Amino acid sequence: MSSLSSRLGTLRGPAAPKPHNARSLAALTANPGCRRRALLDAAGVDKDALAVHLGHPLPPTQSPRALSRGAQFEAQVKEQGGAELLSLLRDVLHLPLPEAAHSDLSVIGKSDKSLPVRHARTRALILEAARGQGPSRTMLDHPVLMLTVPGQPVFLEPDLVAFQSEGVFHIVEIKSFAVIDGQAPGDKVAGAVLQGAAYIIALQDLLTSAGLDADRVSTTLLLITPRNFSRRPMASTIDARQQIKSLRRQLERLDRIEDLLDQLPFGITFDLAYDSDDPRTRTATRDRDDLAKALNAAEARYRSNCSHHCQLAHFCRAQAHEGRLVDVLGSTACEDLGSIDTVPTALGLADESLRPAPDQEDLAAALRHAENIRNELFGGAA
Amino acid sequence: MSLLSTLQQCRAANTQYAQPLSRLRYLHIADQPLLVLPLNRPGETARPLAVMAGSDPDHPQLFLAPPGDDDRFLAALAEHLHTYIHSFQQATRIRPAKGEHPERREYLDAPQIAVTGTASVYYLKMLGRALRYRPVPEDTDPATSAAHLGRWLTFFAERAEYDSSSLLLNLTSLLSTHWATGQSALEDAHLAPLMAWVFPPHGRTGHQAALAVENPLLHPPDGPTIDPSFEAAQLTSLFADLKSARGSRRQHHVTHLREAVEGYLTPTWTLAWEALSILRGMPPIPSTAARWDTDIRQFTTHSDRLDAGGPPQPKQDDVVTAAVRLAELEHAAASLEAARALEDPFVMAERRTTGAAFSGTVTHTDPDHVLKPQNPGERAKRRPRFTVRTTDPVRLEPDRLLAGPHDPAVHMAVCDITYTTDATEIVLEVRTRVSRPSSVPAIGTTLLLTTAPDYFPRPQFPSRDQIPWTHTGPVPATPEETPA
Repeated sequence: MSSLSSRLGTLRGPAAPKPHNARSLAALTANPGCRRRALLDAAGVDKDALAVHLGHPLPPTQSPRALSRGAQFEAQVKEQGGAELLSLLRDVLHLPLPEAAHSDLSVIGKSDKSLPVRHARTRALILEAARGQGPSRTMLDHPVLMLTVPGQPVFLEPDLVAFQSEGVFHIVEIKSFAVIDGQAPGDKVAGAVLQGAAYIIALQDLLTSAGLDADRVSTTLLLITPRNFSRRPMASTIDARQQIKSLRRQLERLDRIEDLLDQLPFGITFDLAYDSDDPRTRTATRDRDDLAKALNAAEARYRSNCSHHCQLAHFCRAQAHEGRLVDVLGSTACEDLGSIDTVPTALGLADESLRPAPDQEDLAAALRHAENIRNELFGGAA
Repeated sequence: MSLLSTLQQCRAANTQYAQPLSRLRYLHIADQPLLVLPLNRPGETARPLAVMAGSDPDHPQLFLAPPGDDDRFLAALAEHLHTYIHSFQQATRIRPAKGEHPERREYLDAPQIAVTGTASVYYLKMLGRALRYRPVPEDTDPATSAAHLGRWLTFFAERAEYDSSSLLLNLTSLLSTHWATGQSALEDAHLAPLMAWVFPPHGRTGHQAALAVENPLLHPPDGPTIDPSFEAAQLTSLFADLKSARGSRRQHHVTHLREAVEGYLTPTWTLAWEALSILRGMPPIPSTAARWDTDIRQFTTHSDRLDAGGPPQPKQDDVVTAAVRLAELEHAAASLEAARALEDPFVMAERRTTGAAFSGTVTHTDPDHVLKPQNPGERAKRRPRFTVRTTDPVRLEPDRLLAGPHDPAVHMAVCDITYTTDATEIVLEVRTRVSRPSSVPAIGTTLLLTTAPDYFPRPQFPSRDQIPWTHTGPVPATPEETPA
């Protein structure tokens, strides 16, 4: 493993690796075919800094006020030892209501430094509960779970782990988007479920590593959200099996990152060559063209929705535009054009200035036909 | 989307200028639509920070909801929208009885709301849901209350689910039916980059112009979501100022907030009116007027329901209402599709690329073809036949009814299809309007033909008490706690 992490270290340069979180892990399932992002993520490269240095920063997409409202809602739901939460969980999970039901792990500390300690404590408490030892604990607040992503530990902080007396653990996600008349925006729910899937996988791994059954983690995610337009919380259950499966697949791919590394030229790096160690004053000195050349060694697969989950999206879009790739036109055009990957090829096949490859003949015929109709409609070639 | 529009997209990417798609519009554009630009308060659900609205491009009205002032904001917004809607509730006409429909009174025209995109349509729907169950405060007129506004917004948002309805216009979606850009649908969903492609400023290509408007601080994107950069740069500190201020200091900060929001929304306001005037300049297809008549009828029906003091729209349709709505949606979509195919050359051309339509030359005619009687009591029928030769790839099966823009009332059935090496010969039999001269075209005529609009009967549903209990779904639960 040390050779892998040293190879990833070379790729990243001396900067500290950017740790994964549930959100970035969840994003792995989007556009899994992009090798560039797979490598950058595996090496923990700061894609944001990369994009800024390359002159293609992505404007911020997270509203500061929405973040603080989310934190407020979580605090409100959990206040008074999670009394409100407990009654919701009791309805959904038929939880028992013992006295010392709530353990808050944030008392150990909330800083990043305390993560390993909180993780050790979480692990101990969960195993204790699973083996039926110690006091019964129904809710673990601010727990820290861990996943190993190519050699690096990733600490994950689910909102809550609930434990049923029958011995099943549940991941509870508290989200501040409203569920109105039983419906919520699909993209928000999808994001929450993927994040929940990361927590469920981490919890499953924790139990199996201690010789316990992974079945003891429920694959149904509990989502706590505001009900309608109020700040009153409500609980919904979502089956996350599909997301768990696809996230596991992507995590396994990250483990096989060596195959991708083998295809890179020797000694290649995405290092920004900072002139000092202080993150506030340092400047990146890496030559831009050189960096772009290095990135080109790792092939990107730009998709129009990349900006939803990858900070490098605008750089890749500019490259796709420069390479005249049809990918900039969006998914419908890409599907229509099948194996044709550039705009000039599509137009060349349409006006017969290019001859189709054997596997493109049907599509080329359709394009020629469409081009004839186009000329009838709008007059000759523009 | 079709291969034809994908090809136009490729051409747009190649030339860096938007390429035309359909040049005819199928929706009505009112002389004075009400443009509504909502901005949501970050981190909240359907709680506006501001709405810019108005039907005069030169005089936008900005309704602002500084923290703690929601009720006054809603009252002012409700009054503005109701004044606009009421101006259409004056002139009426009598529509004479037709078939089963008795004579009825209808308004002459209907209000029309325009928003920039799908996100705003959804936002108005959510705002309608948030408002329509609100209790009416004692000292206010129920007919101009926020709850009443919620019921109007719900009405507009529900009608927007019909592609054929013009009551709530979605500007980016409409522009996208007329132009192909070299960017993706996700980018086209925002007014500024889409307009940049369609009408780049002088000296810039569409591609360059679209990249230039990507900086959210220089070119605020359309709502309803407030751009986080603007929030961080301005709103956060303005909100903090407002939190502690009282009296005249508060007034001072509110003015600042108003200026900031006005500056944020004004570019979109200007662009949206440009978009509206471009769309208005597109000639409508003939059936547009009939679809607007349907909208006027819906507007009249909803007005009557409100006047009669009916309950607000339910949170969810019950089983029967849902079935009826689904059937109506399908009916509206199918008739719109059929009408556009016959009235808009671009849609017909798109159909040719998918094999649902073809263009061909008449090679043989048999105007006096007679069908022998099948049964003893029947008479022989005149069924003219002719043959069309086409090089389009055709995906048709025998007995399919076809029609063409040359005379949409004439329907022809496919009798026989012969494939030769370079073309397809199709024998057609005229089934309707046999005696019209246009029903049997002369040899050498070029015809455009596509599947005939089916006779789409509006599905008839039994009345509620006629439906067996097995098909009415669960009895609706008693209303839950007062919705917030």
